Amino acid sequence: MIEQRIDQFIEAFEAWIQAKEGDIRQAVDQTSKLFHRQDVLHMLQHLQKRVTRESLRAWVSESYREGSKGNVLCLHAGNLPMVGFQDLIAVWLAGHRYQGKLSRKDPFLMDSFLRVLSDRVGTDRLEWSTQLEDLTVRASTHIVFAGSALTVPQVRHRLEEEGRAVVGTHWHIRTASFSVAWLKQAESRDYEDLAEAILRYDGAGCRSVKLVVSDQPLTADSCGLTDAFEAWWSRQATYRTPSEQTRYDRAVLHAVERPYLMLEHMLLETEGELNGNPDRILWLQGGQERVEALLERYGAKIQSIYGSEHIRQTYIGGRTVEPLSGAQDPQVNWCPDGENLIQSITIAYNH
Amino acid sequence: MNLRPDLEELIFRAAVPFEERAIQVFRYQARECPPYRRFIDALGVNADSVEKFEDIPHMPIGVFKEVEVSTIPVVQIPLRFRSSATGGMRSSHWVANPDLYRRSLIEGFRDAYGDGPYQIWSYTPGYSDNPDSSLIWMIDALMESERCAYAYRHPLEKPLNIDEVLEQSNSEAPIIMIGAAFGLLDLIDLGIRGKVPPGMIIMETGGMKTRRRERTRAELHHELSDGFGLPLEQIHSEYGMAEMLTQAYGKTEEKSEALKREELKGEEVKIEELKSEEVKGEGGRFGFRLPHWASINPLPSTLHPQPSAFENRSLITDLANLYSCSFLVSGDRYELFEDGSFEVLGRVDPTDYRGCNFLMERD
Repeated sequence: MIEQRIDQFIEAFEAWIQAKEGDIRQAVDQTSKLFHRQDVLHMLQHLQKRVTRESLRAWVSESYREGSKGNVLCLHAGNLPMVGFQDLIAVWLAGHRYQGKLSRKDPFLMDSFLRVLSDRVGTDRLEWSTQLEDLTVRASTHIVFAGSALTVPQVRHRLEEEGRAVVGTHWHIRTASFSVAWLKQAESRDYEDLAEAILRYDGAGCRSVKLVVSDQPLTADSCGLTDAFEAWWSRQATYRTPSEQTRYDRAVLHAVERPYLMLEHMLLETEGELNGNPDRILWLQGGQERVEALLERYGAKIQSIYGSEHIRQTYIGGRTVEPLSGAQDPQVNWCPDGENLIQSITIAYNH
Repeated sequence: MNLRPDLEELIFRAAVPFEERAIQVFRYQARECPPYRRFIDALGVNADSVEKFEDIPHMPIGVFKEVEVSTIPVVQIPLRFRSSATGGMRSSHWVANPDLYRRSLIEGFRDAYGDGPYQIWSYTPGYSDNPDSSLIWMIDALMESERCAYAYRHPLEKPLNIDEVLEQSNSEAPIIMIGAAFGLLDLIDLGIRGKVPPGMIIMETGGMKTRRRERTRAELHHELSDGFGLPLEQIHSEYGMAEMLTQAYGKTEEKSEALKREELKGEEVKIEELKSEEVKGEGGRFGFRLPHWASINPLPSTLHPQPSAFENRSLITDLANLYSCSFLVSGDRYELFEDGSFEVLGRVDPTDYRGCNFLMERD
């Protein structure tokens, strides 16, 4: 059965992404009104590279356990790089029924693919909408939620009230919201990777870097860094004038007389604290101890720690150090918030 | 020291519109407070051309952690408050004129609790152990004020015997007992002996997350109400911070009759019936209030953009901060009510880049 599900998925995926079935072109055009077109295309190229029969088999073989099937309600976030697509894969391969609440702000690509898949396999196990109320009320065995930690209680309350969450429902709550880059003796290639990790998807998504720990200070003559950002923007003209928030943050830096570097709309500042501005990067000078201190301070808020070429360490603070070059190109089985979803929705349910 | 007695007087003149007072203070601080001057210069704001309150830039209170926010050279300043260390770096607030702070807190207290006299009891560490604490300074100043009929500092970690204290005080003035939230809960655990006077007010000053499990204000107030055997309306809150020289006081307020009548959409309801609802606990809502020289206003605005994660942040204006900066954005989230009162929802999460959840999304 599991092989059949892999085949069904891959065949539908290939038909969709190669535009043989469905309306991917139209979905790309619609999504390109919401995000940079280059980012949308990059994401699809990334999916095409990572979602293969072999990669799905490998993921299943390391994670899947046969067991009873239930209903998994996925509350998807409305951002590139479509982490929700990975959730859909996991639920499908696990053999559960998928209910997807798509974001009203970004519904097109998921909807487009789900139409292709359901045309091939029927709608018994697939249900999706941008409106929660359109989804059949069922007691979910699992609920996958991605969003602000602040809204978790409201969401729980609503789903419990509606009978979608019941006693025994397993919650998979994802609130990690940014990643850290750790640089050592950085060279131009590392700065290129850093630019990609920061600028791709306009800095949205939990795999995007907001904190940089480096053995080098941030100075106005940080040439490698400046060159890498300029080179990135020469390929993708996603730069813009600084936002009102960034102008405000820059004024605060003047108040406290702290050095900063302004690269187009991006504000890179030394030390300081995060403040939710997606165009602001903190550059902290230090090494391993500094990274460990960040892990201690921000804990589960940090999605990933990326290391540059000269970082030989593979673990820090109980976390894997991932290559910086893979920040925006993760494997299909990467673990958002440290969770392998196939594993947790098969094992947890069986228990 | 170049103090400004003219502005000190102006601040407390309720007859002068708030906006007019705020603009006078703004122009003074824009000229004399170096960090604030740098801030508004970087925003491209010309202080002399600002004529409306909404055009006054408000600065994050985090600035107090990094630089001296003062219109007077700090070497001349006799008093400094520092924030607690719970949030990492500590803020320093230099108080150039302690008499101005004293006036703000005494008049603010009178605004909330009337002319007195009252007894001030406290359950907090002493000033000698906490010379940087604005809260302890405030309590001491209230105790020293002429409206305080009797002051009593209850020793830490000892049960409270109310009858004994009342015997010492020999006063019938209403009692206001002030303490940090966790301290007052500790005191309940230690034991409260004797008869709690029916008019006693318990004032918690925050600290819900410290030492004990986190709880909402409603839960805390219910626990204090049960522990002291007092009605919920007599459990009050104080809201302040080291970076502000004005306090807000809050309690669960009875809804005004007018408001209730509006809600009932013209139905004729006798006042007795309304009061009866309040007794049943159906009418109250908690709200903080600031005195007339301070205000809280909603974000965002063009001048003060905020990422979605910062929803419910607000602009705080405290004219009593005359010699530092009166125009602040705090690290808390607020719910602002139409009647000018507000509730503190908690801290802003500065690491939240996800923003609003899609389930709650708004088109």
